[in-house]
Amino acid sequence: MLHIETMILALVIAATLAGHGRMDGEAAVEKSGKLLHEMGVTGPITLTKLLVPPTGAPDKNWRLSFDTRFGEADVQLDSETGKVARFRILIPAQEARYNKPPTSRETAFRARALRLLGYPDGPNTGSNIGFPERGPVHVLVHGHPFFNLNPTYAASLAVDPESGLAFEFYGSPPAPPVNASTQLIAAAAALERLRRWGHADALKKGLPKAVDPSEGVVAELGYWKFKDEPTARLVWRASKYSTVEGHRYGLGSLRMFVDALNGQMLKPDDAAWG
Amino acid sequence: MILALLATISMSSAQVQFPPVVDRAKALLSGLGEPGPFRLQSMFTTPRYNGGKATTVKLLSPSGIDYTAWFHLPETDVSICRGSEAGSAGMRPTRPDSDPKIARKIELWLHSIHADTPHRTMTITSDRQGTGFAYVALTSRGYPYISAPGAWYGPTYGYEFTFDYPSMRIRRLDYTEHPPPTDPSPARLDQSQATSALARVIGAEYVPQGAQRSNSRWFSLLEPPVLGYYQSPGRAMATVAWKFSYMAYGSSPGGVRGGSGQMLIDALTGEQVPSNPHR
Repeated sequence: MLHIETMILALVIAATLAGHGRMDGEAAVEKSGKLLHEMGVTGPITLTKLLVPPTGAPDKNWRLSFDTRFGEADVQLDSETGKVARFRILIPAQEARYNKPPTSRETAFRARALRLLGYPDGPNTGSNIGFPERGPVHVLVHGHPFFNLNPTYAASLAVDPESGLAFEFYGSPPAPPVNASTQLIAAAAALERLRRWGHADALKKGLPKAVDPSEGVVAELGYWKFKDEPTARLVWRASKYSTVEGHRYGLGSLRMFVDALNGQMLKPDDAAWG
Repeated sequence: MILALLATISMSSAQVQFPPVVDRAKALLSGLGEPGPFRLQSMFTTPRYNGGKATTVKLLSPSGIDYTAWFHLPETDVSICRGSEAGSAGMRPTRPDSDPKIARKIELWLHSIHADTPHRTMTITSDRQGTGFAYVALTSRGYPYISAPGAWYGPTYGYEFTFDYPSMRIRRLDYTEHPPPTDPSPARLDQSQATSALARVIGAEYVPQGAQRSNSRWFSLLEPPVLGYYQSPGRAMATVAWKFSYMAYGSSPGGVRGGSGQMLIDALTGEQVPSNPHR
């Protein structure tokens, strides 16, 4: 009888904590264990470390470590929302699989794991952000992704193609507010501006044939969050890589945006963007 | 409905195995009468200076009181305390207290935390600021283990309770269990012979300057000596020794000096027990 009363009290505590929107340590342990099982970890899972969200850190994540039959597993959970911020299972090193397309089996494993992690639409690899084999899953606002890399408003997930074990996941930070949901500048007009800018830039660098306007450069619509602005701007970009005659490599993508509301040319404030 | 909820809890709890120290810390708090249930808030293991390791467990009660427990390996000594009121192990009341309520409560606590090893209450003290302290030594063949808390004579095989007085709510418990086996050889020195041995050791270190001037004693005992078991470093079994707490002063080649100290005299040989430099 006392045991039942204790468990009911535990329920009340859990409900109280949930009501306050903050996950306590023991709830974080239970959620992490459930997560690891869902991600494909079999056998016993033993807690080895539980750390409170560090004071002064930008995140408010519980940090947990476990022993599993696959190796050590680290999990971070947002203490405010309970969402999975990241996890990693230290499985033996795998053969590099860069630029190898995922098998259908791997794709199915990934889609299932992403669904469980709260990304029901599965991978969205329409952009060149992130590692292709880990299937960047962009946060979409009004159907558009963010182009920022630092931070990247996208999740990534690595799946063992043989066992289906999801062994590494990085969640997306919360998306910032945006300034618009639909564009006022048409794609063709934006593309023309980008072509002109690219050609002028190539001339300035002494590479007149760097940007070939006759090839199918595609304009992408998405958001860019400037560091000194409170909301992200809706912008057009052209992500196709340029080529230079007589050279093996081109100039990279057009490092310029067109504001999708007023047509203004915008330079991204992120050196890593490419 | 309740059964369904309970089933859900059981299933989710079964996902992760908690290290035994977590359950041990919860059981200790329940045994000491703290109101639970307790929820785990953090747990981590760090290396210790002596090559061992220490696991820290933090728990939270429904009323928001936090508790911290430390489990030290390989000595298996344990500390658990309530909130920031834990008090330092070095700040203990010194006034003896004979209130029988304390002795009864100590026995109740020992029983509740399943401390069934033979033991003897050695010290009960309190102060006027609401703090009480009790030290219970584990015993073998009727003699206590006399390793001194915080001294150079190895771990304390026993229990140290710090509590609110007179409400008798626990603040902190420090203990070390699993004492070594003991050598059955009986003591060859009685208290008088051991005290003489102590005087010889101190006399070799202190010149009795005070005795020359005023005919007073140049050392005095702070409390009656205790015959008990002490394990020398490197020995498999503990042997009988007399434990002294004393005050001494005098001159030496280095000048005039004095102070209090503790010393163990081997009850078989009459020699001073060397302190353990690793502790």
